[in-house]
Amino acid sequence: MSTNLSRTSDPQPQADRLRQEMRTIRRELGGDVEEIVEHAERLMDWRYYVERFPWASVGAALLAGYFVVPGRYVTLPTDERTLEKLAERIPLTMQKNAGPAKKGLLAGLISMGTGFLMRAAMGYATQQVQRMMAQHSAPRPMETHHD
Amino acid sequence: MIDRLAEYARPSPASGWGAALGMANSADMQHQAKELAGRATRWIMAHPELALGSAVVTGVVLGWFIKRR
Repeated sequence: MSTNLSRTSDPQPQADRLRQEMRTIRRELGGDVEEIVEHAERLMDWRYYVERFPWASVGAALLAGYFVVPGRYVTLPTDERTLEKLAERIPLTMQKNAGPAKKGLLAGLISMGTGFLMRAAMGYATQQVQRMMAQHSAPRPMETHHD
Repeated sequence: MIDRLAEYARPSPASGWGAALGMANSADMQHQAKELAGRATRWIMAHPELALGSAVVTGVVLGWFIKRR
């Protein structure tokens, strides 16, 4: 595909040459597209990979089959006697720390008050910042010189 | 070949193992192994579905025996 366009004084041979070149490009483009489509179809076909890498494909299939099988589930007995035995084995120090700490009424009130104070402080800070920005952005009065 | 190996192994098992190793290292044996590998490769390329299917089944069986038993 060469686009060798040279300026000539006569427009008719130039137009003919252009038409010829466009015809050639169209013909080659069709062939190129067909080739690309064929190549893409071949790449999408799994048989192509088996033909190209036969032992690697077989190994990959073997590994896929191996990993498809799930591992063995371990089921623990949940009857009362077994659970009691397990609970006896757990040391006391762990039992003391186990479980979330219960919140009392006072702790709830304190956390609520803290949240309220934080919100109030944030609102106050926002107001102050807005006021400062408004002062900075306000147009300054024109200074006049009286002699 | 097996008869020959049995004859070598008659005096002692070590001589049998030595003979087996010697046979495995011989040029004839290597040629046979290469030919076998070539035949297997050609069979895989000729029957890809069967080859991959049997490989998956073998993998599943292996996985089952290794993981579940």
